[in-house]
Amino acid sequence: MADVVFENVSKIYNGGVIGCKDINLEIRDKEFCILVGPSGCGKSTTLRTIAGLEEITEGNLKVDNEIVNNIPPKDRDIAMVFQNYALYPHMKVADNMAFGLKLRKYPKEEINKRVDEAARILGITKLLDRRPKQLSGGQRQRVALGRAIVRKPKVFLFDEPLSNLDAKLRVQMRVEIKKLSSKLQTTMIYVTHDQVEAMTMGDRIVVMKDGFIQQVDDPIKLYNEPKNKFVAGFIGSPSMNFIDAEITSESEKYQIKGDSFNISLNKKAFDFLQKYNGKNIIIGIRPEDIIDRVYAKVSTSKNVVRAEVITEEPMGSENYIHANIGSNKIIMKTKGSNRVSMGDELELIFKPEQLHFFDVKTEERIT
Amino acid sequence: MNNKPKDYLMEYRLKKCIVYTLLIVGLIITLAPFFWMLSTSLKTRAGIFTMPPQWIPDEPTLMHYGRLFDEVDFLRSFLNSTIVAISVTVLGLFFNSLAGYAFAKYRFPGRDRIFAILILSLMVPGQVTMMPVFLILRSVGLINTYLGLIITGTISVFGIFLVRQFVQTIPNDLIEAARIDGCSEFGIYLKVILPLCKPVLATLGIFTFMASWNEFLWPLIVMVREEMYTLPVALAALEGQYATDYGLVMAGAVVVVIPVIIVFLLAQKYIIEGISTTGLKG
Repeated sequence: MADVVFENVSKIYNGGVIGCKDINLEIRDKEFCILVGPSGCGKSTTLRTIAGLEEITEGNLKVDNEIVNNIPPKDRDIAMVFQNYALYPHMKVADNMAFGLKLRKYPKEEINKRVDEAARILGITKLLDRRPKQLSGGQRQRVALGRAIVRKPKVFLFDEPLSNLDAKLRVQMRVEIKKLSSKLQTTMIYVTHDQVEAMTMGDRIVVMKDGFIQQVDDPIKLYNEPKNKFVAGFIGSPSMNFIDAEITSESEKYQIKGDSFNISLNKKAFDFLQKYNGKNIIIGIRPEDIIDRVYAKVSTSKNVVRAEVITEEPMGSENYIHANIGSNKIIMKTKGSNRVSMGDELELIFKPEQLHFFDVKTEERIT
Repeated sequence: MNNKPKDYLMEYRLKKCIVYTLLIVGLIITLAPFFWMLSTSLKTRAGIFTMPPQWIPDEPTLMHYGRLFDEVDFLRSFLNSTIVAISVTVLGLFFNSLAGYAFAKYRFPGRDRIFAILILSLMVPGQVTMMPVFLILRSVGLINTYLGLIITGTISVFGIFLVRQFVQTIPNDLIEAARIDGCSEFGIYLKVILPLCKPVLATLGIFTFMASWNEFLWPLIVMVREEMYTLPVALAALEGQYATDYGLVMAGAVVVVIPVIIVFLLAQKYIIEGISTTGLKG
């Protein structure tokens, strides 16, 4: 049980390639923290610095209030689950799980007890005598989890553990890992590129890009108040729509002008837009916050945005409609029964309270 | 329908027949000299020169085998060969796999350059270095010693290369997992890398053992005193300058060959596995 603290941590590879830069992060005891971002964003590098598999170039890394910069991996009391499971092929499942304990010279009864207990939790008791080759992907993943659990480490690290599983199994393991985390009450740090995994599993999410942290927040806050355009676009599926627009001021209202629409907003509610008066901005709106006027609770002819349907993706329960608003492409989420066909003209309404605004240059959220 | 359907089963059988006939002929050609060697070693002196030659001796005798141990000290040579070959194999497997692992998985300055130089040294014929190495051995007093043969035979660039190619196919994650699990660096080599290298080590072990067991020229140079002769050298010494005692030489040859055949039979599964996996997995 321990917290993990990054103080200005950077990892620069030979040749100046940035692994991660100026990481300041406090992962609290017993927290399930997710590092998420696209490929090459430094999330795995950051995780590996905690494991001690990467040396830190600058800054300090503390585990349980102790600086661990120069402590070798085996003395850090952490356990890691790898994407390709990394089970020792020449050992039986039980030996794979016991390996770390044997090396630490635990008494035999203790080792057996822990292995049996972990196997029971994970439902792999029957597999203990098999070799990794004889297991399916999901079973191997469980063994890899078991190998981490028996160690009872201070911190669990997961490096994209579900990426090699098929979609259905992934959903199942997602729930199991989450259950496991509440059962074990240990700090867990989990790397993924899948924002769905991030949203559903994490207590807190760290979004990274190009080696830098973009935002650290709990899932719902991250979703509702993304700090910048990158986070806004990365979290949520389908992604948030971005539309270029210009703000002008008219007595009581702000006018948001796109190339084919015009929305007026109450000045009082959106007073933070004042400094952008007369300037270009980017507005962001999530697919579920766009409504077809026909289905709106209160029919209104104001603030209607016209769109032309490109295509639809019926999911059964929902329907994703791809459409053009002027020169901007958007995706909206509607009920599954709401079917459209190419070329249909739609009259859409953006929920005004769900609009996000971003600076054109810095791409930072305007608040 | 007049056209008979093609009889695929018949064709298949015919093909098999041809293949097996060819294989059997090949087998006979390969085995014949060995059989001749064995047969001659069991003949009486007169039987050896009987015309027409006999494949199976009329009056088989173990006389030559007895002489091998009475008249010449073949047992001593057998012991010498065994000590040298086993030491070279065991030490060679250890050092070559250690070096191969380091070249495959560790990053250190000049790694690739050093490896390239090692590979280049494969181009230098052994005969070229024989004299200098002999002089070095003599200056440190290792002529006529087991150690002289062992240390010069242990390190093999080919072995390092073979292990390196194999270890490169082992995922880094395994090594990192072991590191986190609490292995020391040497522990990773011992408990993770070595067990996984079994096929390649079996191949390398057999090659090394056979090469060392059969080596002739180098032991001939290093081992000057008769009691230090290895088997091939002792075997060669059996041939007289003017007349050769064929029965004795053939009995000696049988003694030399038998351990190699045993080793091969025991390990053939691994050799085939090793050769096929070293090629494909890389």
